[in-house]
Amino acid sequence: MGKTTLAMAFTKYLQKKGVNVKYNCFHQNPEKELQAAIALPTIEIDIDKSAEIYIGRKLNSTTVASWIMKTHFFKSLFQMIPGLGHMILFGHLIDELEKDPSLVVVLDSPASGHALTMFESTSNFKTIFKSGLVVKDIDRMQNFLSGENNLKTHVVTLATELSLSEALDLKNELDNNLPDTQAHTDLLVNDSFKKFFELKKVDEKELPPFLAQKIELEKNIVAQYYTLPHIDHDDMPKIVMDLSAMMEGLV
Amino acid sequence: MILPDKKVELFCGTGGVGKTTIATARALALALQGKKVLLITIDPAKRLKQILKIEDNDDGKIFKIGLDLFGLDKDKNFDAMLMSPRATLQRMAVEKELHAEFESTIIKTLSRPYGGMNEIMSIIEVQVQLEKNIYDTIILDTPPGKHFIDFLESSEKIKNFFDKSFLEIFDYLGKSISGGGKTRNFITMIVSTGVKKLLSYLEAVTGADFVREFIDAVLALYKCRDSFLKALQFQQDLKKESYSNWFLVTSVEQQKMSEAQNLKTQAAHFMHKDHFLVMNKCLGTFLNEWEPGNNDVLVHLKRSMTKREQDLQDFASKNFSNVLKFHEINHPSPLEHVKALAQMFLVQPQ
Repeated sequence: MGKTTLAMAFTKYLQKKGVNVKYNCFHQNPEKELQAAIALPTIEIDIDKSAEIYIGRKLNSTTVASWIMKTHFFKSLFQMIPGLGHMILFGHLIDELEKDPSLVVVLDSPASGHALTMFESTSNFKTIFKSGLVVKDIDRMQNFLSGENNLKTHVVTLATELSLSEALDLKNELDNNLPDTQAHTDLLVNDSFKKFFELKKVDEKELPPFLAQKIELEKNIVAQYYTLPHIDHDDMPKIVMDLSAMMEGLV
Repeated sequence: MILPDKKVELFCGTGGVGKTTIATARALALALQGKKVLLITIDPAKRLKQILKIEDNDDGKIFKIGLDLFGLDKDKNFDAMLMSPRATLQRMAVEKELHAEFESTIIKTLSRPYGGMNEIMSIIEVQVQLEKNIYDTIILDTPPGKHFIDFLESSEKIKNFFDKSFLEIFDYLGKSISGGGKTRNFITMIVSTGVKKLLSYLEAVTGADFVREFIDAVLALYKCRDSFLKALQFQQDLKKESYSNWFLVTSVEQQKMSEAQNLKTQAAHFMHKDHFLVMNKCLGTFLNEWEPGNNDVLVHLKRSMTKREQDLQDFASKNFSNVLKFHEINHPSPLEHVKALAQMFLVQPQ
């Protein structure tokens, strides 16, 4: 889909506009080389460290928190219930955002099914914990996510029917099944040849059959959603920077 | 190149490269050859649902997909399943007569479709299906990127979970895995000091009710631990060349070379060396036939597309001994995509 590329491009776009912005890859493998090549501002949070800080705050003791995190019990708990780590990481990001109201975090979310796991983690653990200190924190997270202008979700799709259908499913889940987050979601079409030829002013009659078929299949999709063009070179830092110049319509 | 018949085939790769479509095409190709095939999608994105028109509430059930869906031989078919952690746990509950225990809010919430336990429960489900011994091949459409590694690491996580750490807690609380209470012995009393401390800290953060419910939920899982531990064998078997085919799917359309290489490196510990790189959405045939004339934009586009494909080809030759190429399918119907790709599987040099 180009999710990571677009998340980086959006970060660079906001940075250029003077926004205090940071990119976070949410516990996925960070593309360090590319990040360095484009001088991407990032916020990196380690799940274990984040959990340790959280528990330390609750118990007023970093030593105890460090001991707890080292117990086999906690290690295996974190491994078996990955949603718990998601929630803590999410909570940590929200802490950072609350500490600095000018900060914008561009979250390069996990892929569709796992993005829902991430977003559902707050309501799932609220159901599990029922009451107490943790639930108060979850309420705070949910209040933040549902607050005016606090969260915007861009669902990225390719300009194909199958990809769009999956993206619409995800958007539907985010809109309807996660009322607590009241996610403001939109669809963003990436890597469109139709858009590329429009921008380059190429007459469709000049295209070979395989590209003519491709743009024919893209037509209806591109007409409905904000679309970014195919980029016709292979230099990744340059691709990110080229795309960052086309992000105006996303804000 | 030989695509040998194996008991298990795994399709892995980063998001958007066409894993599910390729895995479904492989299931179709094997079914056309008369093989008995089960296709399981572990990815909670469930793209398979869209391709095969399976309903949402059908998660966890096995469906017979007649090949007439693809306009092919109606007497042939393959089975397909959308992984459901809840269905897998419910089956365990029935087997172990643990209905009440599995009604726990914690277990029910975590086994929701997006509760986060998909990868762990998948390994159990696959092992159950293997033990039935009714399929020539089970094809696994795995979750993207890092979540595929999570799936591969499931057995290690299961092993860690079922070690002594929780047993000490059960002992301390006088709970027994085999049912009934348990008398505490001298060793238990010594260990219990640490456990008591841990539980008191946990209670301070989460509340006592949660700790009690949580321990009961874990106890219910421990009562099924033989089902979990049996699944560890699956991970061992995957390392055998005679047992599994691994397909690492990448796409020309997206620049996924470094991600494919990362995935290969991370998965190396779990897989054998005789694996395949699948280059999906290749355009080489079309590009070779294309004469862009004097239009500079089109000349440049052809050059960049050709270079992108050549770079992937060079990467493939350098890093993989077995490479399968599938060309781009331009058709609105996902079923036609699958059908065309299945034909390509059938004509790959055997």
